[in-house]
This record gives sequence, structure tokens and C-alpha cells, in this order.
Amino acid sequence: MMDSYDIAEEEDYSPRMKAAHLSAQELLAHRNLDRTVPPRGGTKDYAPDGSLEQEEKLQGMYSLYRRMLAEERVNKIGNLSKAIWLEDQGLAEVTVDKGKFWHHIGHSNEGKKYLYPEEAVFLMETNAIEVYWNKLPLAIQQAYAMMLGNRVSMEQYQVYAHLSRLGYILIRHQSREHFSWYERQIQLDEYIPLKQRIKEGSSAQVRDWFPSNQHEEQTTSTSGEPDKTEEVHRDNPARQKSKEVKSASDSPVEHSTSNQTSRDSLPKGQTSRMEGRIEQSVEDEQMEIECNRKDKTEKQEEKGVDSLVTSSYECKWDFTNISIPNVGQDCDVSEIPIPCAELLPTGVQVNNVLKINTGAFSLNTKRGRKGKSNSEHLSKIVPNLRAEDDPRKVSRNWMEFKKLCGAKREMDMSDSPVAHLWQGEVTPLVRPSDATDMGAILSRLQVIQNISLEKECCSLPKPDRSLDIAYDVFLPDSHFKKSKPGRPNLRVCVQRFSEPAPDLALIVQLNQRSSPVPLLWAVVDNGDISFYSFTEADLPTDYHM
Amino acid sequence: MASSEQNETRAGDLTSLLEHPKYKEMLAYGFNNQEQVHVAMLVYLYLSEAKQWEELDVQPCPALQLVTLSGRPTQADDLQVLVPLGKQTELSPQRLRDFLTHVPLPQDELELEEPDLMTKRVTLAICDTDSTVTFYRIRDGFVPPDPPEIVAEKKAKKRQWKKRKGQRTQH
Amino acid sequence: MIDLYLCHGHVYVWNASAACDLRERHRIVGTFVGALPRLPRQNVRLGRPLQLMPEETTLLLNKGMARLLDGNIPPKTGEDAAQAITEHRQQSFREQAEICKSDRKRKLHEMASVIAKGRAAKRKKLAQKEKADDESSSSVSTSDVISSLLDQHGEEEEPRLSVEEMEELEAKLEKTTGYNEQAFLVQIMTEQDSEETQETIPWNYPTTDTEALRCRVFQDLWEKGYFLTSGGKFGGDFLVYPGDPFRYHSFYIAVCRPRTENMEALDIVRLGRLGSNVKKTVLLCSESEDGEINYTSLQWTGMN
Repeated sequence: MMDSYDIAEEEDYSPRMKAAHLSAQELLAHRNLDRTVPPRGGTKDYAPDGSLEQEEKLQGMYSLYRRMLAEERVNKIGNLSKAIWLEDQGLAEVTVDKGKFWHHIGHSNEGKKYLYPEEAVFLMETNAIEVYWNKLPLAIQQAYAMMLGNRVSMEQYQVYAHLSRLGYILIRHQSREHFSWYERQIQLDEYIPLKQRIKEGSSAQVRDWFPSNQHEEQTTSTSGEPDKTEEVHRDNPARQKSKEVKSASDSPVEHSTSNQTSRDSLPKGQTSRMEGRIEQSVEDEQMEIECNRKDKTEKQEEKGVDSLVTSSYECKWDFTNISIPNVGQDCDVSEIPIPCAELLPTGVQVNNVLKINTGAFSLNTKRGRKGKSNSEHLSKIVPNLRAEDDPRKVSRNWMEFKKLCGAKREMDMSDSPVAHLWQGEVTPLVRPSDATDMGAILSRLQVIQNISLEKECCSLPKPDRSLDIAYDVFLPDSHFKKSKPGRPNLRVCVQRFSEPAPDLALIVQLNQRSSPVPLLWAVVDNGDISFYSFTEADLPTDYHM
Repeated sequence: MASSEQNETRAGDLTSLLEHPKYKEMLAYGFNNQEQVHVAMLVYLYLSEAKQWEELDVQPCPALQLVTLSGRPTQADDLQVLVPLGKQTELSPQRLRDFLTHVPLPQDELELEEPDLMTKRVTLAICDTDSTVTFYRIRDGFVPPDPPEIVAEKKAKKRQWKKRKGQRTQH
Repeated sequence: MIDLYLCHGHVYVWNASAACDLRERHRIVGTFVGALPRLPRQNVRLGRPLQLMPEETTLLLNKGMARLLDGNIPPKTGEDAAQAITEHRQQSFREQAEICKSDRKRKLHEMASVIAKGRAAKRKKLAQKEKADDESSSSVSTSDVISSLLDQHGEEEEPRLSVEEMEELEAKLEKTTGYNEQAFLVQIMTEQDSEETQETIPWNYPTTDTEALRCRVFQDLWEKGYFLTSGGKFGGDFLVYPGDPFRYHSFYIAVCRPRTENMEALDIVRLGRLGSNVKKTVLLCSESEDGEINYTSLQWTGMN
């Protein structure tokens, strides 16, 4: 047995310039192929010295390679899938599915199974499928010529094959433009089928889930004041307060109701048209958020939203009448008055005054300390408000309230012995009242603000060329489902080495499209692939001193 | 632009540098290239004061309108010819080759067995605006990287040298 | 003559022997970009096709060592071609079946003595069992004595299969070796059948000055006896090896620059750094006025 194999092998691998059609004997010999990959050939020498030893090593490599490269792909018919190349569609239709690959490669349409060209060629190369064209089984050389090149560039295929060989699962990039940046951040896009989203034509319904949260983000980022109380609002026990504050900041009195309504009606998918006015205010809020977030929604212009938004600001809020429960560290138990019945969801009754154990907030000692320092901080920056110019009485919303508090501080400078420093055009960056902690001072000193290009790229010019992400890449995972791939671990763009490097606008645009999934640039230099990534660096502002 | 301005202001501040006889000597060559003279002076000072080179000297190169330097890092080392350059000096491959052909050799170098070889070897002293200097050697033709034995040897030498230097500073 | 196929702008060598010849005889390395048949799911060693750099292609064509063919000609189709392939396969299947059968027959003969031994042991066991049964029922008889004697005698002799037994086994083998098409081996061709009469096509490279300089430098270095590969990963145009890259590290990172193109001194620092970090010399390559290639080596001095 061994003898016959050895002989067959020697015959097999004799050099031939014609395409190697293996004889039956040779085919059978391929069952016993060495399945190992030769090592890199030991440590390399510095330079050739003409020694016999070097020559022998080199010839050893050469004969190994001659043998290895001449090997053909041989498989049992029973293990091979079959597909037919549909030239006009640029797809291969799978007619016999034998392998395990269908688990993560290919797609079906109207009951038929299809492979993209890169998928089909890769499966051919990994000895898993025979592809027929006009009843002829294609050679890989023919597959390269017929299936690649036009729809899928050679570079794209090389990147696809490179990563697939390593075991990654690659699917063609599924555009996430139908989902908002925010939805992607919280991975909502994975739970809503893309098809459904496209049908909806808008993402309004889903965004209703998070109106207050979105705005919260907005306020914290726009206001310069380090207002950590907002953080506290996010905790569940303080939800009531948070809701009041948020709705106050957004739109008129009935707003809270609308907020509730949207929550209630969401599971039904569509807000009933009956509640016309309420729904509209939901929309208003929606639009405002979108304006702030700079998300492009075509809807924005269709409806005359602007007027609605501005009109909603005409009503002034008297914060003296709104009791904001004290959830700070200075008292252990805080009371929340009974909310108006119309503000509550239907079926919910509140009979007693709610008591909140604010001590609960100090469970996390770190946060507890923060909270404390904040309350001290606040008491310092809002020293003595006189009744007549009490910001609480004149401000219409929380943001304005904080702004007015700031303005008050500036006015108070007039009593200071160093007040003259603030006269004239050039003034110190830091005020004595800023000297509450290191962070406050540092934030004052930061004259040039860092901007996040990914979030604020509108200022960038249009990219000099258009390029799209090629593939979504997933780590090898037996639980992977094609129908519900989830969030990819990586995304890849393909670029030729000889092409010019992408400009900043293009990098930002694509990073933004991919966010929060890291985007890799596969640069193909004549078959050699290297991966690069551009990441926005966040400069740390560490002021724990 | 910014760098030349900076250089001027610094030159203004460092009057001692302008008074330096070597600086005056360099200026006396009469090349219309004050910035390069300035860089040359900085490199000269760096090599003589900070690095304590031996036989450090200045030569004019009229063909290139440049001030060049020559010297030995230590007595045991080969003589090196340096072209001081600002970091934004424009260089083309042709210009680099001109360095190799025109940069002059000090007189005693003629005694060497292979003067041709020496002429085709120049060290670029590239000077940043903060006066940090980096040295890159250019040479005509192919100079293979050091074989592993030499790399190891050089490392050992450097270690020894550092050790000795440490001892010297202690005394 | 080595056949190069131009396919979607890239040049490939599909024949294994040609690819090896290029390296061993012509010092043209190229890059393997296909999956290796014996172990397709790894990137350490790749297989056919061999992709050539445009500079490698230009050199091979200039030197008359290769010819360029159109790699996009669709295969010949039609009933005849399909028929031929089906017939070829059927023929191969018959041969495979035949080889398998004779393989098994040979194995059967090799194993004949083992089978015979096994059978003999089985018979003996049966006999002993019968004997034990007999013993329990009746007293020792003369027949028992005889059989035990026979047994001892039989053990001394190597058990053998009779001709009848052998024929019976072979017939059984014949029956079980069915013509199961699913078990037959087929080949997924890598290289297509070459057309004898295919005409060569022109090669349009270089087209720009940059490309032309790269080609000139590539050819000049190759003529000096070096091996070259693409240098993108090291930030240059080519990597230059003193011998086969299998066995040696590269000496130089070749950077092609037009003679009069200005760079900043800082670019020199950048290039020098690039090389010193990987223990290579940067080789600035430019074309002189009289058309010669000038090489300038750039190395970090190690001084600060």
C-alpha cells in the first residue's frame, strides 16, 4: 500500500506545463496528502555565502514547494456542493448543498440559495463546491476571470479570502444609514430588521423610546457647567424628578402627557391618529432632538416644525412652583409630592407622598462623594440669590436657569477686589469663583475645544471620492446566524496600495457610518494585505490631584 | 517661514553665539545662506560642547554654497564629513548626489589609502527648530546593513562606552 | 516560455511548475494569492495563482522569458465539451472502482492468514464449548480424546484458507464494493486547459513617469542579481534581497524618486528612521541625466 502511494506521488508531481488532469490513480493518491504546512524554513541567513549548506537548504525549500504547489484539489463527490454560475445576475445558484458552509455563507431568495461571486470562488478554493457554467465545471482560473473583476474587484476578493481563511465570518456590508447614530450606539439596530425599517421609511417610532435621554445628553454636553445632578437623575428612584425636569425643558405643560402617551402607544407600533395634537408634540420633540443631533431627516422640512417648536417656548415656567425633590446628600429621606393624576399612565394610582431614601445613592461610595462635592460646589457658585433677580423666577427652563445662575456669578464679580482685571477686552480665563476644583479650572483654561469629528463632521468638506465599506466581519462563532448576524466585530474597507490615501473627510464619513464598530482599512499591495485603522484619539483630562 | 523667524529671534538673543570666532569664520566664507550658517554653528556647538568631538573643524564648500564640518566622534573613529541642514531644507536626489561629489575633505584625509571611498560618504546633520540634531549617513551605491555579528559588537561597544562615560562623570 | 495571464488588470501564473521556474531560474518571486489545496484555511502559506507585480511582468516580457495571454477568454462551451467532461469523469470513476477493488483484493490476500487464524480459533472455541456441554451431560468418551488430540495437532500447523473459502470471500467483497458514485473522487481544476493557438496580447505598462522609473529601477536591481518584492509594507517601492527571500532577510528598502523632485530634509529623517527600525538600508533610486540609475544609501548613524 505504502509503496504504491509513493510511486503514485512521484508520478503526480512531475513538472508539467499543461493543466493537470489527474488520473484515477493520482486522485486516489491525493487521499493521503500531507496536510501540514511546512515551516518557514528556519532562521534566515544574513547573506548568501556560496556554501553548500545554504544551497542545500534552499534546494530543500524549492523541492518542497514544487511538490506542494502542484497539488490539486480533490474531493469525494459526496462532499462537494454544486452551484450554477448565473452570469447575468452575477450570482451562483446552489443546486446541491452538502457542506456546512451554508450556516454562514450565502443567501436565499424566493426559495433558492445563492452565493455572491466572492463566496463561490472562496468555496471553490477551499475545496467545498463545484461551480458549473453551461454544464462545464469551472476551473479556479476561469472562476477568477468570469466571476471576479467586474462586480467584485480582485482586491476585494483577496481581502475576503484572506479574512475568511483565518476563520472570520464575512458578510457584505449592511448599511446602517437607516438607523440613527444613537440607535447604533445602543445596539437597537440589531433588534429591528432592516427590511422593516426601510418599509417604515423613518425611524421616528423607535426614537420615541428615548426622547428624554437624548435630550439629557444634549444638555450635559452643551452646558459648560459641571452639573453632576443630572447624573443622579438617571438613577431609577429619581425618575419622577428627571421626567419633570426634562419635560419642562422640552415643551409646554401637556408635554409630560405626550411623553407618557408615546410610551404607552409604542408597543402598538403606531400612535393613534385620534390623539392628533399630542402626537404632534411628540413629533416636535423628535424634531428638536434631530435638529440638535444634526441627524439628517428629510421629514424635517416637510412639516412646518419650526413654528411649533418656537411657540412651545413662549410659556414661562415658574420654578418656585415646581417642587424639585431634594435627593442630595444633605438629607436622608426626601419626599416627592403626589403628581397630578393626568400626568400618570392610565391605571396607576398614587395615594401617598413618595418617600425616597436618598441614602441609597451613597451605596456606591465613589458616587456618594462626588454627589457631596457637587452640592458643595453648587452652593458656592449660587451664593446669595436675591428674590427680585432670582433666576428661578425668570427662567423658562432648566437650561436657562443654569445659564442665569452663571450670569449672576459674573455680575457678582463687581464686588471683588480684583474686579478691574475683568475690565477691558482682555480678561483672565479663570474667575475666583471657578476655583472650586481642579476640573473646573482646567475646563476654563481649555480655550480651544476638542471637537469630535465623528459627531460633528458637517464642518468637513465633501470627501474627494466615494468609497463604501466592503464587509462586516464577525469573529468565528458557532451561534452565528445569517438572518440575525448582530453587531459585527469589525468592518473593512478595501483600498489599493497605488491609490491615494483617503482624505480626512472620507475617513470620518466612513468611521461615522461604521460607528461604534471599528473600521479597518485593508490595503492591498499586489496580493500583500496589510490592515490599518484610523481612530479618533480622545485626549484624557485627568485631574485627580 | 516660522522657523526662519524663530532663528532670527534666537540669534538676536544669543549674542554670544554671534560673537563666536567660528561663527565669524563661517560668515566670512560669504555664502548667501545665513540660515545654513546658523544651523552649522548650532551643530558645531553641539558636537564640540555636548559631544566633545575630536578634530572638529569647519570647511567651506563653494560649489554648494554650504558650510560643512568635519571631525571624529572619538580619536579611534573615522573622520566624518558633515553637512548641517535645517529640517525644512529642500533636497532632491540630485542634490544629495551633489553633496557626495562636492563636499570637500580635510587635508589629512588625502593620506588615506582610499580617498575615493571617503569622498563618497557624507553625514547629514539635520537640525530641528529646537536645535535637536539627527545624523544620517548617505553614501554612493549599496551599503548593506550591518550583519548580526557587527550589530552585536556595536551594542557591546556602546554599552562599554556608556559605562566608561558614567565613571568619568563620577570622578 | 512561461504563460502569464492578464485578468482584470492583474497578471497571474496558474501553472505550478512555471511559478517555481520563475523563482528558481529567473529570480522572480511574485506573490501567491490562492488557498493552498492541502490546507486551505490558513494564510501562512498560500498557493496558486502567483500574482506578479507589473514591474515583474514588464521585466519578463522585456527579456522574452514569458508571454502575456488574455486571461478572460471564456471556456469553450457546447454539448461536446460537456460530453467530453462527463465521459472523462465516468472513465475515471470506472478506473477508481477498479483500483479500489484490486486494492481490497490485495488487502484480502494479505490478510488471508489472519482471517484463517481467526476462523481456526473460533472453531476451536466452538469445539471446546461443545466438549464442555458433553462433559456436563456424560462421561469421557473415546471421541473426545481423539478430537483433543486432533486439536493439538492442528495448532502446530499454520491455519490456511482453502481455495473455496478464498473464492467465497472474494465474491463477498465483489458484492459489497458497490458502484457508489458519491464516494468517487473528482478534481476541482485550478488551471484551465490552455489553448494551443492563443495569441499574445500587448502589455501597457508603464504609462506614467513614476511607473517608468519603478520599472527601470526594478530591472536594474534585478540585473545586479538581487531578488525583489513589493515594498509597500515597509513604506518603500521594493524590498531588495541579497538572495532568495525564503532564506535571507532583505538588505534594502528601495525608494524611487525622480532626480529633481524636492523633498524636505525631514523626509530624509523619515526614510532613514523607517529603515533603521527594521535594520535595513534605505536605497534612494533615481535616474541620472544619461539614463543610468543612481543609488544612494541612507543609514542612521546611531548618533544622537
